[in-house]
Amino acid sequence: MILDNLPTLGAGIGFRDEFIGELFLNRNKVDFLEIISDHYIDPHPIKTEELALIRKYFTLIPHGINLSLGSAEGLDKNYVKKLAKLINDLNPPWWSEHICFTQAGGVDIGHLSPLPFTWEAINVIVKNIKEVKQLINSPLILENITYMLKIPGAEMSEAEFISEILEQTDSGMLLDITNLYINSINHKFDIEEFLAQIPLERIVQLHFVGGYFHRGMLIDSHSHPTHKEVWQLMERLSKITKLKATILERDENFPKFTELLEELEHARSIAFNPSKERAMSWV
Amino acid sequence: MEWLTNNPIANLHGFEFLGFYLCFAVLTVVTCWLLIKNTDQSNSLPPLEIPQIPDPYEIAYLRGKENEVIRLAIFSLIDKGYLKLGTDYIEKREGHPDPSLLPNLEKSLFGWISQQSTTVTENSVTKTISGVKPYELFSIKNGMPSRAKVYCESYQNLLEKKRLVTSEKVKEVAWKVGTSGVLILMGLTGYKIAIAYSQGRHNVGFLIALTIFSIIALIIASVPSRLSRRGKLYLKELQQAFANIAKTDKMNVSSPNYDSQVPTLAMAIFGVGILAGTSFSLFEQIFHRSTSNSSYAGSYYGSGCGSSSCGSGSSCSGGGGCGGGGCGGGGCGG
Amino acid sequence: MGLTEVQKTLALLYTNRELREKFLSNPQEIAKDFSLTPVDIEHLTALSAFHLDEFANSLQYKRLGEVIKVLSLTEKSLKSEFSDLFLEFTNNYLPSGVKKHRDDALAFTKFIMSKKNIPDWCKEIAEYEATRIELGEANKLLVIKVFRYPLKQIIQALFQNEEINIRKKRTLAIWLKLPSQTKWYHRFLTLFGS
Repeated sequence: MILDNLPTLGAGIGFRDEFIGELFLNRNKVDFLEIISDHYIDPHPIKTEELALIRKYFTLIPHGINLSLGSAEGLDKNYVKKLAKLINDLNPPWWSEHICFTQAGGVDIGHLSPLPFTWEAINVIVKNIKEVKQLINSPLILENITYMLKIPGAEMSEAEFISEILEQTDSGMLLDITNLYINSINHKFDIEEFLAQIPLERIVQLHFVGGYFHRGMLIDSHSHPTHKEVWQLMERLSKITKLKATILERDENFPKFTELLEELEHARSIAFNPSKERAMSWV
Repeated sequence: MEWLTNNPIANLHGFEFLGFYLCFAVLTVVTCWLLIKNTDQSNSLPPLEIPQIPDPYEIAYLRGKENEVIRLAIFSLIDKGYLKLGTDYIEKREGHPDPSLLPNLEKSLFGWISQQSTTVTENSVTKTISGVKPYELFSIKNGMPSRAKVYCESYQNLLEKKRLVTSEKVKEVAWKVGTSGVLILMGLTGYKIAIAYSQGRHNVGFLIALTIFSIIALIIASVPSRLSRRGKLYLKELQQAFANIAKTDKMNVSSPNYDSQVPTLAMAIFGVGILAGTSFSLFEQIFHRSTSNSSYAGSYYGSGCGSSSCGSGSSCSGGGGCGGGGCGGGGCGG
Repeated sequence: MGLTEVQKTLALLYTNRELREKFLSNPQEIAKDFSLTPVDIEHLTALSAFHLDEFANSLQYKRLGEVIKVLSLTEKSLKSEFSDLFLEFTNNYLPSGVKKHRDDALAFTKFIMSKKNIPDWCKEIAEYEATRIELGEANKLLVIKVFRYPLKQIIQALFQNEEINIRKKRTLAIWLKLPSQTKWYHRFLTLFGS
């Protein structure tokens, strides 16, 4: 399996302009960066320079948000071409996208929207992924999303749905453990059952961050410190998978950068140094 | 010797010759500029790494020599509680901490300001204070830049060692090339004037004006910039890497994001203009008026993305990751 | 055809408030207007109204959050009215593509400028920020805009949370860029009062 040869990158952070200065002042504490691919497609010249700068100092993993792999009407060829160029130029160890759709009928939803867990949706996404893989040299890993809305008519569980896509496309998995935790709360399912149904050997990278409760739902706002349950989940996964990377994915409500570094250090100690004694205050 | 007075150049007259001269002057200026530019080979070295612990004084010196260092030192002394700002003056603060704790440059500057007295008018009241007007800091008479120069020598040596400033070799080449260019242009003008006079024509006013204009252009093109190519790239990368620290929320004391180390570093990297709209805007207002040798003309209010823009957000990002939302239910993604 | 039509319908339900409200009050009737199979109609009508609404609202708030990032001065000048106006604006505009948030912000500034009951100085702040956004894509070296209000003072007051002096004073906003550089140099020049 191509995933066996991927390098171990360590604990990284989703790159955001908001903390670039602090990042450079602490770059020995950040193992790699994940960049949002869309920010560098048809970029403002300053974004081009920014990309050139950060790639000098960090390994970059492109993370797509608008490919809409689950679109039944097919992919936007023009977008795919630009994305492929960006990723091939960067030549990263791998790149990632979501199992979702973001556009349909000319409407850009503006966010990751869930697919029905059906065979038809599997056929669509598998076809699209195979098309993209022909154009991009680096391996693809696929991420599970959170969904407020469950699309009725499911023919299988979410875990079975994801597993089938991973197997049919021979892709790795970017397991967003915060998304998994949030979905398990909002849709009341057992995380252990989910883990039992997915091919754990395909998990390459984890995403983690914190959200907040709103009107009885846990919201994936990427705006809060990581939940203790998510840390516990990371600990569990570090024992049963061979993780290559973890990414703190903070987008909003940025605290002092030192707090993000503490989260990174904690993730590093859990995922890549399991023997090290950990500060139990985190969990 | 007839060829001296009978050749294609000698036979060109009036606007024909002026056109020829203009083309020749442009060619000379461009050639000199390229020769000097290509003498600076500092860009063939690997770019200098952005330090993890930057020295604000070294960066300030890189950006604007002694005057920038003085501005930064004053800012630092205010920040540390040794000095305070009046409406248009800098005053020694009563009950300031022990000056012996200060680095040498700041100690020297504080000592000098403490000895000065100046008359200021505030709220229609005239008084004498222990302090200075900002412009007095930079006056040659008071010699603060020359005092600072002593402390900045180590920075100058460091920058030379790192090949961030234009080397003596480049300056020497620039002088030789520039001088040669001027001599060539003046030689051509002199020759043509001699020919014209020998033929009884005295309408050389336009030619003299064009020559003066060309020589000025040549001098401008031949003066090498203070920073080498490597230095310019380094400064540019510093400004890119620390673009976000100049956001006003990090420089407003009341903001939860305020970081006491940020304003000094931001000022070192971007200059005094970066303080506009922050808790330190009075400093910006006072020092903007006294700016005498900043390496950047004008304020750094910046716009679009990257630069500071009065603290408002960047406008170049594609925006949005896979989370976000909030207020009323956001998020929902990956 | 099934999934294609279902996704088109979902995309509209997520982004079109009017359609969503009609659908939630009478799902069977609205679902019939799309080329959906009876099974698809059955599935869509089983969607949780609460969750559909929550998801759709979250999309709007995400857009609002992104727009505030690039129109922070306008947001400070309009205060709470900013979000009310934005939610009104989203009823008739849906951006797309990799620059959707930029386009959203630009279209919203036009919307603000077209509103009659907004103070002129707030409109000028919106216009100023729109110019800043457009500079990134502009193939120009010099941009000059004339404003009727002293924007420099207003912007400083907005950031310091001070009272805004709304006396007119003609102001030039000048942006200058050197060829081959990406950074713009910016100055305000206050001309005279009026």
